[in-house]
Amino acid sequence: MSSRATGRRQSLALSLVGLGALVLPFLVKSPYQMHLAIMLCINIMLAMSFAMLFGTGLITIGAASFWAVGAYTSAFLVMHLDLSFWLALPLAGLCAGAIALVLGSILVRAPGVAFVVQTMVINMIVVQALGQIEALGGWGGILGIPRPDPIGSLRFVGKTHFYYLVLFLLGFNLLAFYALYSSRIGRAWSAIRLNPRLAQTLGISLFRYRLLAFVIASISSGVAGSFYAHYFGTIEPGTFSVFKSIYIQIYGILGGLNFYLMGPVVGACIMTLLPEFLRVSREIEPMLTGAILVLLVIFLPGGVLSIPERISSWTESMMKRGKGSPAEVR
Amino acid sequence: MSGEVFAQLFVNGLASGMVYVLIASGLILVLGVARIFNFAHGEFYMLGAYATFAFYQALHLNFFLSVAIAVIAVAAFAGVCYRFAFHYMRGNLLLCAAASMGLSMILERGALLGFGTQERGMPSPFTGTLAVGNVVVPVEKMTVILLCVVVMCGLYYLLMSTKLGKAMRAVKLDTEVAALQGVNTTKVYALAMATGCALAGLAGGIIAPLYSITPGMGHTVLLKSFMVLIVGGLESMVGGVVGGLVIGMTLSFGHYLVGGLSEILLFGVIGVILVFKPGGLFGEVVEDV
Amino acid sequence: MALLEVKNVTKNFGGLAAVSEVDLDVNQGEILGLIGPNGAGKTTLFNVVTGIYPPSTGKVMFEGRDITRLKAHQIAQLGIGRAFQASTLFMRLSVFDNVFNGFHLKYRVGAWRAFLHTPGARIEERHIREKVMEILEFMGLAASKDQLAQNLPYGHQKTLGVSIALATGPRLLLLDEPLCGMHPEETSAVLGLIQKVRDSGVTIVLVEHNIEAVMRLCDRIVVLTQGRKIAEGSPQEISENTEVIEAYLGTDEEDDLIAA
Repeated sequence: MSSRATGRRQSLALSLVGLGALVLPFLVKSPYQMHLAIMLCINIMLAMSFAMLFGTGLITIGAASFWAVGAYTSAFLVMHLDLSFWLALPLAGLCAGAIALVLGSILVRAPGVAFVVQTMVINMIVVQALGQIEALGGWGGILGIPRPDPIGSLRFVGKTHFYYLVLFLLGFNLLAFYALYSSRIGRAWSAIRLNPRLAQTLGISLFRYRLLAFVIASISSGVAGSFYAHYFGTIEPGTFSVFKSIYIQIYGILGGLNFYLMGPVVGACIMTLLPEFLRVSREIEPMLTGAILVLLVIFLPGGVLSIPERISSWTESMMKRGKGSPAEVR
Repeated sequence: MSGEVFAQLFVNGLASGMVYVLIASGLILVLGVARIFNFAHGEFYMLGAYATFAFYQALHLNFFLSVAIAVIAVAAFAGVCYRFAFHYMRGNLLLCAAASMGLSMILERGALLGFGTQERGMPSPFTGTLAVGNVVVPVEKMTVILLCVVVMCGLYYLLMSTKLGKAMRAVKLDTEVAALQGVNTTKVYALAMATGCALAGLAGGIIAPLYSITPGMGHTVLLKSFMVLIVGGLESMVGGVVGGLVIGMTLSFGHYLVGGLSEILLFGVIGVILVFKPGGLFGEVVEDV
Repeated sequence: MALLEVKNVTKNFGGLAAVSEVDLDVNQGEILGLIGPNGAGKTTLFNVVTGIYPPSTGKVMFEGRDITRLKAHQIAQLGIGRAFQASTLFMRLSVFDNVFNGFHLKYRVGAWRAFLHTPGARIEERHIREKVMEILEFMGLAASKDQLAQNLPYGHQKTLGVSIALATGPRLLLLDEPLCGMHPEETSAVLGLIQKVRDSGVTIVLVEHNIEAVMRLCDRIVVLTQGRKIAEGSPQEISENTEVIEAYLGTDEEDDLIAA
């Protein structure tokens, strides 16, 4: 299939998904399902941050740390400094970015397993610190985080309002990330991921571009954190544990690590929604989810989005066999 | 701090430290040889505890026998897990990690459903105290320490002197070269996973009489185990021993000195170590490119 | 002043000196051949010059500037390009995209505007796409522009490696075994290509095992053995140098050397 045709097909698919996302509240009635949709959007944003880092060859098990930074910073700014949510949101993101800048300058220099381990430690430290520091709520966390201030006459009362807000944030994220990936920055990132040594000889500074990815990914997570805090109303250290970071990794893996934008979307969908479909039996649901996870990793190592590619290479090899020896085909 | 208190804290730290050493050694084996970030490692620890409990309590077997059978069961199960899951994604750290997470979910919920949520306890087969000089030490803890030391010696012997151990070390150094030398890498991977998880299970069995047994006990242990690796170096057995002891001691003395802040103290210690040795005390930092 | 000056460079790995007290000058516009038996330290020297690791002692000067301690990407920015021994390419990208990445240094529109995809940025992208085609045509790869690098025949992969390096607009180009693994028929074509590149204004240093080709192509030759420079001169001088012949004694290239 020509690339223009696949491009058009992709645009069509995307438009349908986008449309579906916009009208979702009208199709869904239960508040629980709206909650799921909102958490899905948050998970997608977190997965996208992981994917951005992975796209430069950095694997992190600490994605939840910056999500936490954003959440706690925002809660603090609004509750103790009386700032408006609308100001706290970007500030929380920038705060996460600033911390990422400082930490990143040290961590990014040693990519590979050292980076993985260090991000894991940071995540553990963050959770521990948040739990121990009473001023930040300790293990009980912060309760009663206020909702976003009304904009004009629009008040954030029902889940639907939060949904459209998070959808807007997600959309903005997707656009920004897409703009980055299709620019020379994205090209440099992919060069670094595919062949770091070659990228260096082309004048690409591994350190600078990786740090940039780290900071941007953290800002995105921070913003998601701020939203989460004011949506859920309560934040506690346990939510931001290493296990959440591992889940975020899985969102990326399941979708397909080679697909920086759609991969996180698909992966987050699977891990967020699958347990719901399996709620048939509440009790064994985690076992089923775990089993499906293992099966997906075995049979689709390239992620769900690698299915089209596998089908086409499978049909190609089928066709070659049908036509006789390879020499004849050429 | 009086000498007695110090001795108590020391013994406690040694006991819990040695347990961490056991679990972490298993983790290092699985990571270094089979190349799997085993996020289900805590669950194997948990399974070892439950299995020991089952054999001891329900079948009234001798404690050591219970532990032994439990370990063999855990090892066999881990080998099966390897063969039917991890084998297909061998070499890919990320995929193995994800799969191990799935396995963890299955095992934890399975244990919950199988054994129920209530905490289980085993009466300790070793009661009483031992007087060493003018220090009084619980026999339990001494047994734990002794057992762990024996096992670690056995592990050392396995890795250094047996054919399997040498094969494991060869695979850890360079899988391709080992394969070229005729090593059956699949078998070695599977056995490494079996042995590594067995170590975790063994640790679970050993401490079963000391602490309460719950389906979630794997989770808390997992993070600490990774901390041992971080401190000691991801693929160094020696590092595992040192790391485990550092953590055990820090927590033991920390609890006495600063109470609830002992965890923060631990992180502080880890942080300092990492500043000077980012790859862990015995680890290597592999520079990219 | 020579374009590149390697002054008394030594590189130790552990206790082993891969390169020992090497002095080397590369003059503007020449094709310099770097030869020597396996393990002589040629690739190590390249790595030191291109900043992959710093020398243990010694200095490297490029266009009068000390580049000894600079990092690899900074050295690339200054105008030294490199094609690698193994097929070091972006395997999963197309030939076109591979060379496109080579133009990373040539962007003049800033990153911010690139992100916003301003008209200026888009015009520049188009501009660069044209330049990519120029290079592909120059190097004879235009026909395979959409093929994935990993699907190319070996010879084309090596040419692609050189093309990518050319895209960075280097004034000095280091080629690591450009003829390695090639059929005799392809060799002439590649030699012609290298001449073409030099004629377009790029100074070239190449490491090669194909002595015959080196004799035909290079203006000057430097010989390394076990990390040390043992000879330097015109092809004629080198072929008559007894030390050089001795160094190659017993190796596969011995006969080539004597025949040249």
